[in-house]
Amino acid sequence: MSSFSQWVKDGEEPIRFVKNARFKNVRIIDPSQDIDGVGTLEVRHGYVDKIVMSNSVIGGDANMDDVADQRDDWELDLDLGGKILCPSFIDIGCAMPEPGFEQKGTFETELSAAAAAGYSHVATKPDTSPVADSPAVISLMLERSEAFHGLRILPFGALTQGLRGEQISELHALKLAGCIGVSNARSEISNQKVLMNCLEYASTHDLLVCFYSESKDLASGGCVHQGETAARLGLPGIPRCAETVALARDLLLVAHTGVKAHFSQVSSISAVELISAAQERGLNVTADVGAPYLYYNDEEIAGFNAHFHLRPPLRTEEDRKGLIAGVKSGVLCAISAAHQPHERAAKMAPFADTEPGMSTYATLLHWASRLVNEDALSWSDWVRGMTAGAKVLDLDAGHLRVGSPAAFNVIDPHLSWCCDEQSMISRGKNNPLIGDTLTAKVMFQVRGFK
Amino acid sequence: MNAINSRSQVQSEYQVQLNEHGQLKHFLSVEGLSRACLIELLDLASSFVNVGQRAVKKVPLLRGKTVVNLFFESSTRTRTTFEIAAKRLSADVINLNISTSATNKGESLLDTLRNLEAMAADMFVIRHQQSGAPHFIAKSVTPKVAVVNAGDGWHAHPTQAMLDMYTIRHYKGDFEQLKVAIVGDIKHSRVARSQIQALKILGAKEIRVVAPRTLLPSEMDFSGVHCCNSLSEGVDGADVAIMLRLQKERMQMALLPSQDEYFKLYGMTEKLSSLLSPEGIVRHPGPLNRGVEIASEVADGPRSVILDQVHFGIAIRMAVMSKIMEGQQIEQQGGAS
Amino acid sequence: MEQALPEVSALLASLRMEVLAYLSKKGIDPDGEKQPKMVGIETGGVWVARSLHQSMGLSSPLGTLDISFYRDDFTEKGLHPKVKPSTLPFSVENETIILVDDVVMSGRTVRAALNELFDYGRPSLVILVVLIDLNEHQLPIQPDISGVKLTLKPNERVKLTGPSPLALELRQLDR
Repeated sequence: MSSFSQWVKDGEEPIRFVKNARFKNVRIIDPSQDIDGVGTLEVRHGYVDKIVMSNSVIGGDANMDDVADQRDDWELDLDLGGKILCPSFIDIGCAMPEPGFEQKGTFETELSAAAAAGYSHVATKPDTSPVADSPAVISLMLERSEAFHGLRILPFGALTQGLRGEQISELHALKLAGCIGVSNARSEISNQKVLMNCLEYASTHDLLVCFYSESKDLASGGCVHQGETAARLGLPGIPRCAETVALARDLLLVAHTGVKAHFSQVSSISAVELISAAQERGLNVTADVGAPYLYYNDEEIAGFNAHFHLRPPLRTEEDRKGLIAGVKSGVLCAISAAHQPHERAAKMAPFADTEPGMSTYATLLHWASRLVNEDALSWSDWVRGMTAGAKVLDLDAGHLRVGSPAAFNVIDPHLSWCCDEQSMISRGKNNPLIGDTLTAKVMFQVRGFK
Repeated sequence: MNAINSRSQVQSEYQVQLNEHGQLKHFLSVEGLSRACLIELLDLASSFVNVGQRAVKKVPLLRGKTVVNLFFESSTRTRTTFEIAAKRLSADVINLNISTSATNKGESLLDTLRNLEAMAADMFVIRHQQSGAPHFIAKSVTPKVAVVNAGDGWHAHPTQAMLDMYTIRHYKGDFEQLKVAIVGDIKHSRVARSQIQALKILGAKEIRVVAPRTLLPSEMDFSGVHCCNSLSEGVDGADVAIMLRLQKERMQMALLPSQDEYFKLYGMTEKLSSLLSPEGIVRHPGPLNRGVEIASEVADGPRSVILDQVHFGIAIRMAVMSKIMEGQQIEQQGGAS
Repeated sequence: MEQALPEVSALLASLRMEVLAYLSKKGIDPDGEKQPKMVGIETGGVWVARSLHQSMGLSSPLGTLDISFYRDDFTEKGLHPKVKPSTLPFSVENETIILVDDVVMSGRTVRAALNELFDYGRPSLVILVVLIDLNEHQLPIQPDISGVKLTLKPNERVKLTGPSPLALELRQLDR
């Protein structure tokens, strides 16, 4: 039987594998079962066996006598007062730099970072090099990422070959190779007939299409939200309509073709309104927002600060509030990490010449704790957002249902820690909070099976 | 200005240009500077105008210092003015037209600057096509080298704005009673942005900005600036009209149909100039497009203060360069005693 | 122990006599063709020079020098924004220049004035005339003629106020 503090101290390993363990006095959050309260969770033989709340008991064997409750062969028996226990998270779209951009990060570094951030599943975007448009590249990715810290990668394949928007990829082959869905990433398919045909074809193979809606023409040349900050700094802007014009078209084509669709990393309040209206009309689409967009707005760019060069761009405070409301209302069912690591040189240039993206895994919970503090979101909202990927990607994960393999996080929402270059596991240190003292961290993940 | 909703509290771009005593050590942007600071620069420039009228036009303020003109966008006029200004301060001047060499081969700005370290420059005068480039250089690359922004992207052209302020003060005196109209491609104009900021800081009574909607997006509703799309409304009763240069590229991307139509709607003609106040003046930072922004009769007419400003321009740059050199030296010596 | 400061008018009268005597010794005629040109250093030196210029009845115009841009204590004193224009309404080349200042202490002001003067040309002779010599020279610069030599305490300074009336003031520096 190990003690809690010893585990935490030793730990380079973010994931602990146990068969029989008990976690007492911990705030258990599982939105899929409407659970949010202090209780005890027991793992037996690697499965979630019993959850005991103050006024209910889920699972366990009702006929077992009291003797079993006093078993003393727990591998772990922890009192986790003040901590949070929730299902491991699912990342809907990580900009995994391997293959092709290993100077920014590799499966090893980025999946380790994801594990330390509480993820059990990481879906990857297809804009790698080579582009993930063939079974060979998919197999390569699955092979290279195998068995990293008990994390599964779920590759999205490229909808069109080379992401060029001309020829459709071999979707059937991609599905067989292990793709969770397809996407054309941020490269707009400019010929609308081609786009429609791609969606029809994807629909016949029952493949999920993930959209990153952006009009190439309306966004061209821009690098920040077209608003007051852009006007003041003299930076070319990307208006909201660059997102909404493309989004409206995509939504209509989704309705027309009946393809399964998810809209990722929306950035504006107008986009939330469009998706909400479509959902209300009965269109079965899901959407997510990137975590940084819930916390920051474009005023952060004030000093030409390239850390805040993101794509889609950070928009105004009004948009930020609209995105938070979208999460609360469920229009945006998921929160994605929007994790995009970069090497130092990528951010060392005049603003418009820097590469967009932030390395977010290490600071997600800090942002969450701040938002909870400000009463913008509850921990329950956050966990729901971080686990909704299971619903979108049709995975049996992201929950603590009795009888399912144990896969959950133990989080300390009050832990103060310094996020310096050493402690940031991702190879990309492109985060504005680097060097700062942050609040909240995943202590470790628990798994019943490898 | 601290962004109300900013969480990261990053140093705003203009704070980078001040040393710990609040003195200028770079000149990147007019924004955020105090009125006293701008007036001091104008007064100092006045002294240098006098120096420029002597037989001996040199003073030894920057003797032994090396000033490097780093022009990533070529401009003979501006670069020559800076060169003369530096030489009149007794500095050694090196001109680098980087637009024609390294960056065309794909070398990053960072690497280009690292290769220049051996030159042991004391000051860089930088013109670059990207907004924020001089700021990036001053903050991240060479903090001990004084940086003068000679124009970055659409963002700022602070020395030009100071020259315009000097000219306005020379002909019209104090700013408090002045109504100033700025006409033209505001959206893409670094000169306009700097002028608007300078006029606000100097307390101009009214600042108007005139342009077609495609060149004056609604987000640019700077507080205290009146935006309009009609030239006659904009210049009516104005004491100063500043006409901005229209670049040919604006005819692409459907921003404007033609120079002809622009002139009909926004060109300063004799007739329109009569709408100005009786002593109203017309300014153009140059170079002029006669028949596009301004009719020849006006450009050469009695209200025009366009030509013959070379000596003011040199004096302003001398003032800026001496001021920031002073700020750098004070910082590096650990402050004034 | 308070030091009594001398009367400015008395000093000016004494200076006039000494300058005339000096010129005579050097064989320079103050009224002649090759008469000396007088140059005062802003601001106090110009006041002194103006008085001398008038009392000596020099017919050539008075020159003035503002040495702000020539100072070597740039970083201590900073750039003074309102710099008066230097005016030298005569050629300096091969001329005798009477350079006038109110107070000489370290000698740096005079050094700066000489530098500026030589930017205009090469005088054949420069005679340095000061109202007060504090004798704390940091550079090898000695006035040729001084009204009075004074010794001050370390934190004391003497200042000429003007332009009318001209008077001397003793000031304490606060540390």
